[in-house]
Amino acid sequence: MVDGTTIRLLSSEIVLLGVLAFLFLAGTFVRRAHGWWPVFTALAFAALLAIYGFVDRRFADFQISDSQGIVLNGPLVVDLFGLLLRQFALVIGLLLALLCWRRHEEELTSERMGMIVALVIGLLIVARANDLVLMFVGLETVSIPTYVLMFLGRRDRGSAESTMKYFFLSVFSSALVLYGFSFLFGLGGSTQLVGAGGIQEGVARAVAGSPASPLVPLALILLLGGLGFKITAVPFHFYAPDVYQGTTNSNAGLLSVAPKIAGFLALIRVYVAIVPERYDLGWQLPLGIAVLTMTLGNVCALWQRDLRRMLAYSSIAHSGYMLMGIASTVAAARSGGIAAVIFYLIAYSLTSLAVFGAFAFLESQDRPLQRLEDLSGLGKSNPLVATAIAVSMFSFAGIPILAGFWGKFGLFTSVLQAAQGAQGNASWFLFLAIAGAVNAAIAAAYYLRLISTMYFQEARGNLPLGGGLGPFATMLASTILIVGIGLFPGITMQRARLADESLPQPSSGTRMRAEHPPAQPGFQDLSRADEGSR
Amino acid sequence: MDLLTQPVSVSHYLVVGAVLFVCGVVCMATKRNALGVLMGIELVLNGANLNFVAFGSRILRSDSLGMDGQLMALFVIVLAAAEAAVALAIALNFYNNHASIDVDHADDLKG
Repeated sequence: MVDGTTIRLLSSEIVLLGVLAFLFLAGTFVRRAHGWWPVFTALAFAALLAIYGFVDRRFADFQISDSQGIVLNGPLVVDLFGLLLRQFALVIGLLLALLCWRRHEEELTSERMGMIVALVIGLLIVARANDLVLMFVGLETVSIPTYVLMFLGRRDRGSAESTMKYFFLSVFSSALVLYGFSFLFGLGGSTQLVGAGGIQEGVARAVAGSPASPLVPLALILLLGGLGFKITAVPFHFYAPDVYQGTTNSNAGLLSVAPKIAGFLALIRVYVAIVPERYDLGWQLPLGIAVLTMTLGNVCALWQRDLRRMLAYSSIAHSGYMLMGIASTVAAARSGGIAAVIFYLIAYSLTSLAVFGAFAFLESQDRPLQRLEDLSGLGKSNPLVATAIAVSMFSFAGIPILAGFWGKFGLFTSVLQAAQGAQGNASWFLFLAIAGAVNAAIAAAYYLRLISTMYFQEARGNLPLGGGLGPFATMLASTILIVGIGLFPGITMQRARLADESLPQPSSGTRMRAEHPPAQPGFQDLSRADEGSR
Repeated sequence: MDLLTQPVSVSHYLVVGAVLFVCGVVCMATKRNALGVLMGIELVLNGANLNFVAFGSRILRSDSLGMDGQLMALFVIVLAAAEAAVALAIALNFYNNHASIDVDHADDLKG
């Protein structure tokens, strides 16, 4: 039942498509004043964010946020989870537009901004998809602009090589996801994920039947493998260090944020939603991958001297932490794992953007920032940027009163809750919590080494500070947000918790919250609003 | 169950799809030319497509609903075309830097 409501629900995407078309068309005619394109794009995101969250109370999305239920509308699912993550995607778009505004790479700026808009459209779709077709299209709408952004306007060997590696592995991961989707489609008989006659029910049926269908574990493994590439989970992480090292600082910032958000959203929307209750393989797979991912990421990061390689391994480790939340939520639905993952994802993305914004600000075209030693003496020569980097590193390491601390706090709480909730498997989750704690301690070593390099080593000549206003603004805004979320975690935590509760519950074959959408208050609001508009 | 003696069913199509998928993966792993790797990707995507069409077919499965499978296959074909366009641009960019599209030359970054 796709009607006028669907069009209104997709209005953000439609507006952004208009912005995208304008950027591509107008960009070919305007040959000067390229600096205005990032400002225009950032303003578009800011305006949409304002309309979305604060101004228009009649906006369809906002009415849903007052109701607690979930509403299915054709291929879309409308719930608080989608609302929160869509707002966050717009914030990310705003920060990315500023991050990729580079004073010394002015040609093709409008095309680059257009690609960022396309990528944000993909994130918006993935946050709300309840259908395999739409989910796959959304994931590809994130991936394809990322490939283009990586080589647009770059002529050096490193960029060409890292683009090539990233492209082939990312396309392969999409193919794995698609192959997993095809088995899910076979199990469910429909492309709808949650809802009457959807894949969730089909998978529960297949697991309950005897003999249990061999397609379920196959589909889950393919799904985790494919999405594991996007979130750089071990053993699909190997491309990340090479790709980060070869590309620029702003592109590395983009790669550490956009595919990861898309991957975790898809994991929550597809994997967590379809795994039936009391299906042990469902939590064993992410638990094992989580332990391997964070251990390998942290241990390998210890002896990196290249900044972006180190941060690549650090981003691998952070994916491992977030997979802890996925594992605990699959094992015990009420453990608050998803809320913790959402909070951690927000904290991690902002911190990552702050670091890469600072790096992009410090370098210039002829003097790229590459080695750890390049940062020496920054504490004296540029205290503001050094403070921002230090705050981000403390947030990554999970030092209290910063956003990263509350993220880790939430994840460990959810793992311990799962240890209580999952009878008979408590020891596995205690092991997971201990592994996570040991890893957090290892990780502190290399984050603190970077800080000590900045403050306690002699400078080797000044850094060029050639990044310009955009990366500086990204760094400043993200750092303020990290500190703000750290000081007042309650607001974000509350919204993440509500988003977690709004998600559909795992199916045991009979219990379904989404079975009677007309009973939900949000649905009535929507239909009434639709009549009013005619 | 011996597939060779059964009338053609979804399972046969799944086997063909799996063979295509494995051929694609082997092709991606062994080809050294970037365009050869791209062909491998097409095989993998079409292996998945075959699954979708077989699962969605009303002749093979009386309980399948609507045109969902065929729709997905069409979307995948379009996306594969978009990816091929980007892939050619990336290969051209690589050729400008390395004077070759042999993926074995992509070995500068390690550590």
